[in-house]
Amino acid sequence: MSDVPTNLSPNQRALRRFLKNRLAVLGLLMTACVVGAVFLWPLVVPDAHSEMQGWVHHPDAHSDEQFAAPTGGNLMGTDIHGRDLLSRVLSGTRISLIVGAIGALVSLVIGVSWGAIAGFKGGRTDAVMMRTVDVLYTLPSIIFVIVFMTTLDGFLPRFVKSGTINAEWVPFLKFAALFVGLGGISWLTMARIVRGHVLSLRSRPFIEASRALGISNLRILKRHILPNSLGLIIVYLTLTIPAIILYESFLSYLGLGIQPPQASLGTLIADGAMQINSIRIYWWLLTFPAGMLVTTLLALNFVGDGLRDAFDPKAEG
Amino acid sequence: MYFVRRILFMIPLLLVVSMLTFVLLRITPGGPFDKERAPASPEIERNIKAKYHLDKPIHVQYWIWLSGVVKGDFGPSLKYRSHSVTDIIAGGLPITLLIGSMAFAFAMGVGIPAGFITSVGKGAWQDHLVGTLSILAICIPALVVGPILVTIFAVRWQLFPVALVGTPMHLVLPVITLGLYFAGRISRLMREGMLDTLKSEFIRTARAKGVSESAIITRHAFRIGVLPVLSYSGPMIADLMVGSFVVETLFRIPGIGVFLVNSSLNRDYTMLIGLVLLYAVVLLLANIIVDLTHGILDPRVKFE
Repeated sequence: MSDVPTNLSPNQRALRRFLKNRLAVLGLLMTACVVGAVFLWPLVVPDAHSEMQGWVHHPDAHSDEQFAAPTGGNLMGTDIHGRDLLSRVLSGTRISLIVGAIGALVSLVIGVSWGAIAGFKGGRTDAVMMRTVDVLYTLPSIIFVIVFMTTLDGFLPRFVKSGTINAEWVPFLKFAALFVGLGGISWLTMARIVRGHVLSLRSRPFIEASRALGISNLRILKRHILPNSLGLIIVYLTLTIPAIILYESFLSYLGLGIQPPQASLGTLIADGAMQINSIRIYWWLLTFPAGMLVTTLLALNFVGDGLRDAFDPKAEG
Repeated sequence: MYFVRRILFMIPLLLVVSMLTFVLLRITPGGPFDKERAPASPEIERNIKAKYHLDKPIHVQYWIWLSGVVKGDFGPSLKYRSHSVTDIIAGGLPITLLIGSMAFAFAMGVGIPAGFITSVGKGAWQDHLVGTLSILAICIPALVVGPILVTIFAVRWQLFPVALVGTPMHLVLPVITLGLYFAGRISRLMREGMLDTLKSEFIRTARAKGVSESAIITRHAFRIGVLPVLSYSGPMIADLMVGSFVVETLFRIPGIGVFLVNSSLNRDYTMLIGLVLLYAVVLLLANIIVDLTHGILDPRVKFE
């Protein structure tokens, strides 16, 4: 890349490379559109009990129009309870995005601390920690989330009965368990990448200089190692979000994730797939949630791949 | 020697996994009998619990269960009480393994040539076409592919049966549904692996020695270029398992994936623990095989 000026910082150069990648910019725009639509939507929807007018409806508002094909009033048609599909798809996407984003943050916290400590301490600590990661890689991690959710399902009613927690918290706690669980199994790659990077940073002169100046390990990690790994961390964070959204949609599809009346893209697709029969095809029930999931995953993967290529050290020079 | 150690290391690992799952599920309040009619009397309830050892302390329960497992007996299913977990697994495992391995073969069989074509013709039209198709495949998960394939090929055109198993025709749609995503992933990995390899020193040496370009690509570069695909196949088998839950649910296939999902919903603990253990064994073995193959393909890898 000879046309990239050399007087810029590595991060600025990476940003320029990213902006030159048309697919990545397209992905960024698509992501922005999806995020904007799903988070602005709640601001304009009417009350769940108000009359159905116009094309903006509440995701939980029922009507007598069951399985109505898309029209001007219901742009994506209605579902089995006569609920407006457009609004359900948007609120489902919102839940999927939230699970993906918070799950990715959970995996970020675990993965970065694990990798940074292993790489920075080195020696025996490093060996034990990375062997643990190797072993965890070979275990059926998603099944642990299923076991975890099952266990929680058993405990929550008891806590409610004994008054430890409020019954209204139950859906929220299950929701939280979902992204903690999914984040808890998605940090392995992040840990490996960060550890490799920290290992290479550790022997660089400026770190040795800080050490010679008597700066504490924690401070070196915070002030020098982590800021220098930021690009890499962001890359893998963006790639983790679609992965977690995918896991969440799988679990929800199977009935193990998001519980009704809440909807995510996975449960919406499962509802649509249930209505497949040879007499009539309610194509909108499947097409729109599936299309939304594919669009979201495509957009996030384009951004993630673009960032990875932009921050790739092999692209320098 | 290395692989003997790896296999021996599985034993403590499986013990830890089984102990954690067992304790976690057994201390969970509520049980498989909650959804059924309440027992006629406390007496009967006590008898049922005694029969399944649910009244004993947890470490005793684990010990009873473990001594059964060693003999190949995972205990009775708490939900389908006339069947043992071993029976149910033995009934469902072959079909799950069949579909899983066929999807694996499909993903490799489609993905490796696709990646090969895109890397050899880098920048040409086939690179763009196959590359775009691969990215699309990665972003269209099984739970989207499956219903679409069913609607078009089974309901609308009636080329394939909608569900269940029986004839080879029954397998086509589930295998494609399960394997498509992985074919896309492999295609991308193969392309990256080949392009990286073609830049390396030993390829330059081969070129300098006057080896023909086609021999370089097929005999020298392919062997090393395929390694990223190989390292991915371990995690891929784990993800294939997750996909098989969806595929089995969608196509009503009586494999063990369905039982895993149902046992979680029904809190059929013995069933769930048995299946967790089974999946762990399959994955651990698969990873050992992957490492073995790695050593055979890449002479630089040494196991100590």
